[in-house]
Amino acid sequence: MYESMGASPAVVTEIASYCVFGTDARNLAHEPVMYDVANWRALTPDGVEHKLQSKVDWLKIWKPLGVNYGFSIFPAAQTFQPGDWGEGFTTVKLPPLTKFNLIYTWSENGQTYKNQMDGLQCAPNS
Amino acid sequence: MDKPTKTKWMDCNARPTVNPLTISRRTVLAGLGAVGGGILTAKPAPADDLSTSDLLTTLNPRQPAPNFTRNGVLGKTYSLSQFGGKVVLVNFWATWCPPCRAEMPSIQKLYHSLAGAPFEVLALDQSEDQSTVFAYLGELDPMPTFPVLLDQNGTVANAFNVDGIPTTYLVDKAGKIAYKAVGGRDYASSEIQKIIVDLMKE
Repeated sequence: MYESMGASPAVVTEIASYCVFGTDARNLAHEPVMYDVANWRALTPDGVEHKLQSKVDWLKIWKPLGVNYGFSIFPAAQTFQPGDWGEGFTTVKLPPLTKFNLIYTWSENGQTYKNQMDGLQCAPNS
Repeated sequence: MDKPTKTKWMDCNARPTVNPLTISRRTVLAGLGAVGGGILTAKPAPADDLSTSDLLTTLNPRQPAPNFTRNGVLGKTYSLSQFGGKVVLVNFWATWCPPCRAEMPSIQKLYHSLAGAPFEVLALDQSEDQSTVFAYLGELDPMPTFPVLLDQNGTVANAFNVDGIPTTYLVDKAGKIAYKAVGGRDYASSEIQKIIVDLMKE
């Protein structure tokens, strides 16, 4: 995808070294819901929690290179009003085929909630 | 399914009934395993899930919309300010964005249905060149007849504080942002058309 958008080989190589998966999030509540990818973690079988590489992190790398593909990455932090939703790539620096569980959090009415998606696995090298 | 603090998490992929934030994931690269429990759902990306129940967020108080001037894919230049006295739907999108592609026909249907009314659509493509956008528009049936503009450096999106695409704003006749939608919508729905018609009557 990044090649087709005209990304330089350096940009393509960098993001290809990450475990990339698509994320969709939707607010089904009747009040605002907030999330911040900075608080999400990839939990690997060795018990280590890995910080995700957020859109903010990617823009720090991409902007000096003059590229602007930020909208391809799942927004780093967002408030979803009722009915709002979004999608994008989520990335974490893990080797191909690494298995992990995604720990994610969101806030509602000032309270933070935590949940976990189990059984994810990074793709093999293509 | 409820918040983790209230009930046990389900150990299946059933959709929660009281789930404030539903997250799913698509297999961008092969190899993702089975989805676990909790409030997550294993379902395809809702690229064409434009439920008419997903209405627009009211902004109160209304803030002035940032003015902008951008070239359209057909070469003409447009400014938001030139549409004073009209309700303007400002849509931020890109050709590679599935929900943007999914909602585009509904925007055209809306635009067509409100022909002659004080209503305009300005769709700002993000970070793509003219030939890419033009080629994509040619694939659409019907092809959009509203202005499609090029926001190649994303500065207009930044001025509107757009976090993700698609994001859409409804600007009232006084140039103030009245409604916002993050994520795709069915703009041809009667509910959203009514909102726009009511805005035009103000």
